[in-house]
Amino acid sequence: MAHSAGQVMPTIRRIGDQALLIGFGDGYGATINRAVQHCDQLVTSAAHPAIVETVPTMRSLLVRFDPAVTAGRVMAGWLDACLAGQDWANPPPSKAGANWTLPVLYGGAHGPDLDRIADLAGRSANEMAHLHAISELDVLCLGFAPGLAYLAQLHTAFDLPRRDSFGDPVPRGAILVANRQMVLPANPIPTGWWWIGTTPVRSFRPDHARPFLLSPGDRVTFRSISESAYATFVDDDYWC
Amino acid sequence: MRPLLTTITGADDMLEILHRPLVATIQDRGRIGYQRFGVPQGGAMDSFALAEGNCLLGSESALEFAGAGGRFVARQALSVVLTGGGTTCRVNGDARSWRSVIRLEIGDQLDVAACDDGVYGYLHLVGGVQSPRILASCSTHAPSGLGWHPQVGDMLEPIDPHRVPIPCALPRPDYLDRRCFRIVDGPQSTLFSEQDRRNLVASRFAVSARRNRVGVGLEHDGACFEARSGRRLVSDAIVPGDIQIAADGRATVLLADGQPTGGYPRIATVISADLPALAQTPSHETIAFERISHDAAEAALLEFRSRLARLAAHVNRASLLDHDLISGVVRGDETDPD
Repeated sequence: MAHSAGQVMPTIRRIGDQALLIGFGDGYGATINRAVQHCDQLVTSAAHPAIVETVPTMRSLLVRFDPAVTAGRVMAGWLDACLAGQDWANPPPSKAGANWTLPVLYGGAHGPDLDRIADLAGRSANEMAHLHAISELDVLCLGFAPGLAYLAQLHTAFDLPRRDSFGDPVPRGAILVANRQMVLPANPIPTGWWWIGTTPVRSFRPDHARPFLLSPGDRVTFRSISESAYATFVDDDYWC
Repeated sequence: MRPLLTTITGADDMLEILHRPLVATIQDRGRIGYQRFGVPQGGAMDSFALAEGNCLLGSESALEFAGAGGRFVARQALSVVLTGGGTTCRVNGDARSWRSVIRLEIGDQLDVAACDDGVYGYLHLVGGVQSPRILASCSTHAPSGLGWHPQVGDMLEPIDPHRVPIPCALPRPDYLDRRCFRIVDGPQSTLFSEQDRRNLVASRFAVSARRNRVGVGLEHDGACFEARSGRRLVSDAIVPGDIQIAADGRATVLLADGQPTGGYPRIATVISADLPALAQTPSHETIAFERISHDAAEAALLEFRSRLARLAAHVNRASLLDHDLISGVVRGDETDPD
């Protein structure tokens, strides 16, 4: 799915009447993700007074602005100048991100699809859990639901299509995989992705001063924990 | 916007919910700055009606209800205002108007009839309805458990119980009659054929009953819309007003609780200034779209905001006369030739 690096050139287009969209093509992948993160840092640090918020996605950066402060036409020109002179084919690695290690209980009732994807991949369930746990994933973006994180890129063993149908809702913390990507929901959701494990770490605490654990640009790895460790796990260390 | 208030009394004013509207949430102006974490903007589906409550009661957050009304009883004396898509309410059986300050004494029962002039109604208290602020907003977002879901027996409490508002009213706003909605092209418009894009403005659509705070479905008789690149894309940014074409070719206009990102192609975007009117358009009504430039859409947004800022100029204080609470303060007929 990833486009070759040479195709990553930003386009600036209007979306609605209060936003501009800086697009990096219609695919996704590591280079595009670095470009989006780099673009977000550039635009945010330039601190234009009309900018209300920026929203990084899989393949673009939404820049929301107040047209009462600066007209969209002028904003587009400003963004164009802001993005000029950068090597978008080779964006620098994200500087801002944090590193996380999340404990995961794999298989069983906390990952009922692990055996199925092991069959599909022609490997053992233990091997699939190990290949997942040692992954070093980038948080591409958060979307679809509050705090729900998209991460990539998993080992080729996880190059599996999604399930044909949606199952019952999975709990928050479910480790969901498909297409070498991973999704970590912060609330229960119905899903067509494969559910292979669960982390006891909450990724969204609405009452907390910093309510979302993960941000786009963060890096995440995992460690396998036992059922008893899962049952007694306290995630306070992740929320100080 | 200066609320029209005067200080008289202080008490733990509250309004108990006896019959809850089917779909009731607390809404304010929504969440800014959390879309990067996947949180929808939220906020009142009809920002004009929210502003009317702000004008009359200084209300910053209201009880938003869809369709059916509800029944409330005052456990303390307090003032309320109804705005949005309704016309009928009663206090102890006596008809009262929407968009006018209603004073309730202890034990008074307020019956709010179903919305018959739109879809969303707003019940305002002085200063707003007290509700926990989460992620810089009181807006309830049901799917993620954000905010408060008022239930039968719950008490609605005014944020500013120590102020009694001057009785006054606003006229019925004409945006409720809008049935032609202005759109602008978006980043994905060119994924659709010229024919599809012409059809979008040439067709008449029926507003579907398939609707909620996330979006409102549209039905039409012609051929389904289909993006040339296929019906599923790599997920990209969404803004409220986006007209999304789903896998079945049907169109949905995404509204306040629409997700910040999504993978269905979007053919155009309804301009911000027309979203309150679209949210209030009753199901089965016929609507149309008119394509305008982005510059014109921005101008319309600024004009919309200036209408909100000028609301206070349209306040009618004639109802002061039949309100004994503040007789002697202002009669309201000093300059009236009648």
